[in-house]
Amino acid sequence: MSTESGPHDGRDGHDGDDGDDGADDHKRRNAATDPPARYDAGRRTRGSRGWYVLLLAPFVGMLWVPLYNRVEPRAGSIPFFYWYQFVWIGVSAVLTAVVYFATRNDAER
Amino acid sequence: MNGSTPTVLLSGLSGVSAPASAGSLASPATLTVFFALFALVTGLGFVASRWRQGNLDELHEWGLGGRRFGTLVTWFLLGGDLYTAYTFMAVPALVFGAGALGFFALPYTVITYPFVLVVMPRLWSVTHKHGYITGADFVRGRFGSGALALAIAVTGILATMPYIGLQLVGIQVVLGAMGIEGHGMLADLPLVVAFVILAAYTWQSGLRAPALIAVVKDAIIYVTVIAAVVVIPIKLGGYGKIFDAVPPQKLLLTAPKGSDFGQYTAYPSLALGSALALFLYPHSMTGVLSSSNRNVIRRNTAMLPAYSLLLALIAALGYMALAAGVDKNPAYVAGFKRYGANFAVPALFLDAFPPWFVGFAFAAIAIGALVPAAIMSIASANLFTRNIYREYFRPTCSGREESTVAKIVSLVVKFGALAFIVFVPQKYAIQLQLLGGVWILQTLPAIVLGLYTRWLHRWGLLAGWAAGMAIGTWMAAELQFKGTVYPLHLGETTIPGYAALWALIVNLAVAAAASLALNATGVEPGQDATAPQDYGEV
Repeated sequence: MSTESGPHDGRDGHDGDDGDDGADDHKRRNAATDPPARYDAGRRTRGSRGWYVLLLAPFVGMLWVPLYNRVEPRAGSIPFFYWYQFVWIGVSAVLTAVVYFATRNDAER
Repeated sequence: MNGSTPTVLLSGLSGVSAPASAGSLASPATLTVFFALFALVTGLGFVASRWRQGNLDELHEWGLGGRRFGTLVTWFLLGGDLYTAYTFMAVPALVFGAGALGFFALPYTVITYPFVLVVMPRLWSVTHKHGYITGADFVRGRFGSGALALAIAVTGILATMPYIGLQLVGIQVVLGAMGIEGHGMLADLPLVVAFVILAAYTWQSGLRAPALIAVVKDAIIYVTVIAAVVVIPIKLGGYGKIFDAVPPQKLLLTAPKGSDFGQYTAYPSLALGSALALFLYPHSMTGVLSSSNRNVIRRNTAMLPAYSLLLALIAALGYMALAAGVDKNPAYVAGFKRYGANFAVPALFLDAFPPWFVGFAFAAIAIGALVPAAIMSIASANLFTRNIYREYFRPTCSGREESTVAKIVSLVVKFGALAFIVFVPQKYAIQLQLLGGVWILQTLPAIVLGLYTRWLHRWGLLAGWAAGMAIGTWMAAELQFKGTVYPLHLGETTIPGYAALWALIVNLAVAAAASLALNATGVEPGQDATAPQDYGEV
């Protein structure tokens, strides 16, 4: 791809991020990059930045060892230390996905 | 299952013979399946040059696949990139030998993606806008400093070598487990043969080769791991039995004793340091920059944890090897003697699987090492060519010359990696990756903080980098390069932590202090070629 038109060059969203009504509209308006649209998008981003706070949770849950360095309660026969961290893989993936979707319109430019 | 010693297969290669040391030659079924799969991916590697065809004489075509990879290919490529012999051999080996501490790889992969989601899209946007293909390119543009860019490039190449070395160890152990090993002068011959093949298709196809092979690699790895976590626990009498076999002192992290924090600080520091370092490696950056737009990366941060599930299951293989008692099995004693704990997973597979599936599983490990080794050597080659060769030797070189040099360097780097495993032998292969992490993490202030602020002065960053590299290397040397958890003594207290993090703290402190002074005295901060809107939102 040799275009120099920046990150938004019409290829965005060709694989799978359709299905969200407002998004396309929003993008097309930005593609024109008229100053008011840009300003508008910037403001909206600030509003949705709060979602990123969710991403702190995995850091706390994973790095504070005393939270989970124990055997009981077991899940079946698996000690807490192991299943707790295993569960976090899923939780963290879900949080990441939530943040992705929640901030998508603003960032997809 | 490997009783007799049929050396016939390799009798043509003098010096490469089976018997005696790590074990006898594996059964014909094992070897057939292994080599068939190996041949398949090698073929794919050569065919890959035609895939999404581009002019492979251009560096961004050869080294970034033309920046055309969509969500799914990027997922496979990054998966092939990040989940390597590290995952399949080194982590379970550490779990096997050291217990709970080895599980730090789990929190590591959990916290790395939130970090990536926030930081990497910015890097993608700015590199795309300015045509940067390496982290050092970005640093040069952002801070207008050739010296800082050079430091970043050299660090990237240096840090990648032991990481490629880890992949080589993975291939070596698997080949050894099948009885294919050389002696004396030719000790590394099988490895060299494997690497010549790798080098050949990397040369031919560039990044397209590992991207295409990664798909096959993932398929056979998933099959192997699912088979392993279903079949082996059934054989061993369930997960309860497996965890019962773990010595109690290894089942949990050792709690702080007196004024020593023990593994309570070592464990999270290894996880955090590794997580922050992961995407600074040239090869993961290549994976990110070769995607077709920034949302490919954002989306992938939610999809890549699928691999983390695998990692967790594979880590548990270390305990399964304990429960199966493979280290006490006379059939594998020689293997453990030669390869240490790294032999745990191969021994477990030999013990639990029928011969043909052993071949399949071993192919999974070997190919799982070859793919990242290819990506890593391509990424280092990109760095060298763009940031050292063109910058300092041939500023006017053509695109064709650039990609030729990159191809040659990708070879040189692989042999540098060989040197690491020959000269810095490790009880645990994972130490090779952790050593790379100590170095690569020192590029975080320039690359990651540089995405957000120009407050840090270019000379301050350079001073911080130098201090971090020196301290980190010194700590690793103190530990004789055999460990990377450095016990920091503060008065009465001892805080064991990953040397990479200690060095980063020094790095940041020096960079901040120096920047404060340099900014106050008005030393020229350098030209910033980027503009705030080049970074996209957030």
